[in-house]
Amino acid sequence: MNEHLTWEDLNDVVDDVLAPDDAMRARAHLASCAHCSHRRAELEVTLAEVARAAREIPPPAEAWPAVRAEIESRKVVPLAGMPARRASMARFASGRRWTLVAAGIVLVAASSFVTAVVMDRTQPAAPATVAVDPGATITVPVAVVDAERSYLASVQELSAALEAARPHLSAQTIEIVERNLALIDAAITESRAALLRDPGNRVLLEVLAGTYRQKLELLRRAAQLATS
Amino acid sequence: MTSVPVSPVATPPPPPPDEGDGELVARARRGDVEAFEVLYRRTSGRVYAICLRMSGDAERAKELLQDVFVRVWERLESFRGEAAFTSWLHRLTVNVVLAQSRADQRRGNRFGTLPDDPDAGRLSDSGGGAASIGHRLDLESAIAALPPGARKVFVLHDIEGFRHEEIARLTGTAEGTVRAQLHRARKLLMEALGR
Repeated sequence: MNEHLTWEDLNDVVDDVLAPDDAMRARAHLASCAHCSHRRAELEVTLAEVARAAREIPPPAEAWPAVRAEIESRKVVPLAGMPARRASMARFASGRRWTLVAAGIVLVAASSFVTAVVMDRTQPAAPATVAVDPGATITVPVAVVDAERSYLASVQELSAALEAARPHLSAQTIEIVERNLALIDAAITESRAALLRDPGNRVLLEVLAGTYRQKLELLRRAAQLATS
Repeated sequence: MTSVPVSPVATPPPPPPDEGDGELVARARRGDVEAFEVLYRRTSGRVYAICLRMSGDAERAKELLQDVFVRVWERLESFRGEAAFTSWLHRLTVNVVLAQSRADQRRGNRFGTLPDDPDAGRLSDSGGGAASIGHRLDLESAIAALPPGARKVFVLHDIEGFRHEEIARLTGTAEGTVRAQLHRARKLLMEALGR
């Protein structure tokens, strides 16, 4: 080979990716051509210099606070098991007075949850643990946990009231209510699991909010039946 | 029926400085931000170097760095520990940078808009101490000044050690194109360095 090696061939020699025959011819040329040998050496020196370039470059100091704020706003938190129901909540189970209170609770809880769902979730939120179903260990975003606080309190109060009103309901009504509650709880669990996989999905948040509203409405209607 | 009190999570103890990546990942998975910060402190220099060199822009690199670590936080569950955490992290970093580059190209944005424009990737700021060293500044500036497509291939191959076929797969281009970009990048780099 009398012609000089092309730039591509030189690179392929350095990278050792030439086919065996081509590599043999290139090496033979390099052994006899000072020009190509010099170009190859320059390339190798440059690449060695590049290889010694700093593997790490310190990032700007403000990068971590921004990362932290973002992950705090998206953070998911565990849900622990359910503690015993507080008997004191049964005080709400007293006829029409309870019904009016329950209706107000439903309205406030549902409204605040929906508001929280649709608002821009850019503010960091403190970690929290929320207990829902016995033995549940699923997780939800902090934004949802915050929104759930009022919902969970309402469910607690309505559940206690319904439990107190239980003697006034027929066995058939109790069976239907419990079956529907189980279905809604399963839907909540499913929505939470989906949110865990995709915490920023607002559609899923709205689905979860709708399921919460269903549960509150069912509890409210069941309690109304007991007092009508 | 359901009963639902709300209680705060106890603050976890700070991780010991010599705790391994695996233990820190496990703690971070449980929501321990302090453990995640230790992981960040250990690895962000390398991640930032990849982002800076591949994007050629310090402000863009900072955005990419933040994006990478937010994604890492969200995807910690998918890290199975089959490879080293740093390997998983660097792969994720490259994927984030390339995905963002493609998205920006689709939007006709600043990053990668003009793949053959040698001025498209000027390093606006070193972003750290490395560039304070004279010859390294020359080298980093020369890398940053490469055309975006060639620069990405060059960084992946000659700095990060990816093979031609891996780069072709990651960038969705033919292996021959990757080699051509690499050869071009080296030629331009040597010219910029006066060789």
